Amino acid sequence: MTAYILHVCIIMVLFSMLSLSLNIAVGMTGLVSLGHAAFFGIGAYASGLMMLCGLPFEVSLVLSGIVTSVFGIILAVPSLRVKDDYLAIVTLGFGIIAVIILMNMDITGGPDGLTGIPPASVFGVALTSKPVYFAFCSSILAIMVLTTSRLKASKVGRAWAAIRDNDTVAMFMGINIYYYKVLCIVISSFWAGIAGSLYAHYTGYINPMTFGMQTSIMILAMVVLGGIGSIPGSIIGASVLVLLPELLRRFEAHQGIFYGALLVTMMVLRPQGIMGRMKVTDIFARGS
Amino acid sequence: MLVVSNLHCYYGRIHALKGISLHVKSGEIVVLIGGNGAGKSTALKAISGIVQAASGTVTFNNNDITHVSPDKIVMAGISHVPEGRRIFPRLTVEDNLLLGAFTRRDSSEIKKDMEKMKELFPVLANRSKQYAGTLSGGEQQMLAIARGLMSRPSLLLLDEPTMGLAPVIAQDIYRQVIYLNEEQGLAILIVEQNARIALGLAERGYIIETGRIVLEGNCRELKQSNEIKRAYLGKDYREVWE
Repeated sequence: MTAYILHVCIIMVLFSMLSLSLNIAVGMTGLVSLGHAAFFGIGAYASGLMMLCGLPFEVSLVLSGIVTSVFGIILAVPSLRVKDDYLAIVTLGFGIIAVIILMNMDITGGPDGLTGIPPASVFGVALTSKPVYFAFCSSILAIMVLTTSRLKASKVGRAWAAIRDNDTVAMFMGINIYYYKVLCIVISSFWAGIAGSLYAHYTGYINPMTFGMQTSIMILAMVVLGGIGSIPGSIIGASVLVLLPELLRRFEAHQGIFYGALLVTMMVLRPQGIMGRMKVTDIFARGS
Repeated sequence: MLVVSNLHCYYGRIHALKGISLHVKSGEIVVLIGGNGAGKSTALKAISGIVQAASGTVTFNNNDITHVSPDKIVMAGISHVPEGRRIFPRLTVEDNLLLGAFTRRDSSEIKKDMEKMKELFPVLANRSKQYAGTLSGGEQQMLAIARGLMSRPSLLLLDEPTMGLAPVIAQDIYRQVIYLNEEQGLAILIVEQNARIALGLAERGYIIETGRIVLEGNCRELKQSNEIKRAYLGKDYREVWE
């Protein structure tokens, strides 16, 4: 039983990282992404492959974040010419392409995925036991929360907020909006990559379907439910949406109904999410 | 200080500016008057680099800034207050002001300037922690101007600063504009639809129609021009036509 609870907790922490990293893009900068799970996947595969090649965990963890950022730049440079709903469609396409590539490359093991990814160990200490791994992931989440809140209150965070509120006026202020948008994607994808790495070494097995559109939408739902632009909201949103299916497990057949009903009720009664100030429509589907 | 010569701009296939030339000397208030769609706002956007010029040149303090990026133009000392008081509604008044100083790095001076802005526009002082979106129209316009001043410009571009405001508030705003010009020697280029206010305020003026400067000169002279009276002031209609 404790093993099961710890498992759920670890997944909660990993999804908190994902929803917080997506919230950096969506909530803080107004860049809507429907392909965030692709970054999660890139991080997972990068880390898995590096460790199978014999790199130590510490190195592959950091490198997987960096590799994911590079993919973030590759996506950002052409796609940031468009914004709002168009950007959402571009990122949706990116997510689909990423899964197809993972599915068809030999090195990634095709649809079978990667197996036998060694568990994490830091400086010779194996992190195989669940409580230890939970503590390790939580401390990385803590680092992430800390750096993100520092960033949010800094000049960079102000530039992001200005771009989110009105990117033309942000230009009037002398903000190089292109640079700050790319920077946002780099940081957002870095953390998603880290979450991917931690996931890969936790499960030991990854396959492309985990990183598809369904997961992307799920992460976005966590952001919206928790509160767009809110750091604690990201964690609460992720926790609720990871916990809920577990709590509803005894109603197997009707699980989906409860789950869907909760989301609908929530959006009608509190459209700005649990912790947020902004509605989805403030970011999405806004005029000019 | 600012010299624009033979500037052409396009929005897609629409020829928005058809070779306009104008200049602003240091410490001067110059007004650009014209109706809807005449190209007034486009002219300002071309100066601040938001809209790309197809041909022609913009020079500022003898430097060519025609194809310089907007952030470098702000650093050079041109600040643009956009029309429709586009403040950042979901940020506090203070954050809005800080964003105005985005290109500056001297944080202690920035703090001093924030205090100055609060003195200049007292309504902002009590509301510094409030979200800018909760301010009234006039307050938002004051915030927009204060935000524009935070970059310490030597030239301020004001795009229709009194649009949609009550006349009393419009007067208030222009009083501050005159103060900034007279006391601080700030050069100001104003775009205005209300010709009566504009001509009373500035030293020189340009009349723009469908992307061309059709008339320019001293404001006192412009006010006497029959063409202006007929088209913009609406006064003495009879006198002009009969």
